[in-house]
Amino acid sequence: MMDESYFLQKSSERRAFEHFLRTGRRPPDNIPAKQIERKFNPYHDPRNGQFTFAPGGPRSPSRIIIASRDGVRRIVRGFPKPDAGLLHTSAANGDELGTAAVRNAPFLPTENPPGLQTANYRPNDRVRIGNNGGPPINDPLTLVRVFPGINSSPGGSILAVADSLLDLTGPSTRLTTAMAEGHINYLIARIRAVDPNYRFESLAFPVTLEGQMNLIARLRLDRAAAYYKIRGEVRPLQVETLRQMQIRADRAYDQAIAMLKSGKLSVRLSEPEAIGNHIDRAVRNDLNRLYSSLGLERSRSRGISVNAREYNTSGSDLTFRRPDARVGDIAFDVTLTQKTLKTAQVRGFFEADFRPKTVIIVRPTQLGLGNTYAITKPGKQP
Amino acid sequence: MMSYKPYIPQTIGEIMDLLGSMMLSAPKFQDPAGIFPEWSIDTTFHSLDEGLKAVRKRVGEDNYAVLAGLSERMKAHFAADPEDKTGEADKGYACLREMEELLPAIARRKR
Repeated sequence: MMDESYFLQKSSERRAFEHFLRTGRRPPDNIPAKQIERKFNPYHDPRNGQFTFAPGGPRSPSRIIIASRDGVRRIVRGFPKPDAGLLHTSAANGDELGTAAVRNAPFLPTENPPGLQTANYRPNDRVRIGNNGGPPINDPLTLVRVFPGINSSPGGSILAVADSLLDLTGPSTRLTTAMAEGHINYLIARIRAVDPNYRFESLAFPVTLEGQMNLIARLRLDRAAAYYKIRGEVRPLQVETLRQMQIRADRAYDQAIAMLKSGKLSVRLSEPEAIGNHIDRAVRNDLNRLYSSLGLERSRSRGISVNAREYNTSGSDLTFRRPDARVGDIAFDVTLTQKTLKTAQVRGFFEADFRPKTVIIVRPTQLGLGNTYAITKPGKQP
Repeated sequence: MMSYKPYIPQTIGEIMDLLGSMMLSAPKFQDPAGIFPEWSIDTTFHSLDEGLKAVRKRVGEDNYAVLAGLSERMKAHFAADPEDKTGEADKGYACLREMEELLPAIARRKR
């Protein structure tokens, strides 16, 4: 820490020059002898004021590493809980900022209440030079970006999903309305570049952050459908199918647990079996509904199917397996249990006539780290 | 956005999936992910009713009448208690479970 007297000894010209070096700006005419300077940190956890880490890596918000009192570093899985005090106070006052806005506000202890700051408050606009819209929104179009190394890994590898793909409470919630609007306009432009007849029908721009994120999710689906229908390009649909399966498996898991607790879920063999069955059925039905909504025909010949028989005609006996979904040469399976190449069902998928390149196992996020992963085709890769 | 096209299940298996999904989304039957605001109690029961028509021959006229009646009662119960507070929704859940047990039994008998 620099001595205050040293600071005060500097001439105003020296302080102005140092200010210019740090900020690239001329200081105000009446620069005070000492002032608080604050830097913008996009990875400042808005919910508790602590620093967090960049998305996409092993230290992103879903895998926070903290130091415990005894000095041992440990990993906390899952997302940090919102500050109950903040939420409680705002909600009790009937403040509409008490929900998403407060959770997304940066922590500025010497400033106004956090609810009055937007999620990406930037005191120094030179931090993001060139009006590039702030931190990039993770928007992969191919599974290569979702499972890094999927094309170069040895056969039979198990690859974890990139951490930030579904990091819904991470960077995505730091979207500001302007950023969301920018990304929505970008998505519409991309869809129109593929399908000039595309019409965007919306009553009004969503006011809430959740509504804006839902609109972005819907437009991503529309973009994937446009790529598939107009250009025959299936890869964006593979990504969106995975994203939707994950979101819906997570929701279905929560709902199934709640139903089980209230005694509304019928249990035959065991509770996990009942939960797993309902998640499977809910995800498959949702996939069928959303493919219908997008006007996508499901059939083996078109390469898109939900819970359809995928035959293996290579042996003397005709056999088949039913992946929960198939999009192009990717098979998807929703499950509660971990499945590997040792699982007969997974081997059966790879032996099916459509020869999947990868089998993606989708498990609810609530099950913990490494819930969703890809298994590459065994044997030598082309 | 692209115009909404309703989903109609074509097989008993797909209807079973729909019932499983309905069990988790009742009594409001909205899209759990919030992406498709078009999904509602009306679109869901439209899917169920049209799906039952699609398998009408397969299940037989008598069974179809029972299943269609169950669907009608189920919708009325859930519509009467969208917040799941008055007990009407519980009757809807009972109808749903009854249909979940009936359909596979019918499918097995018809094999």
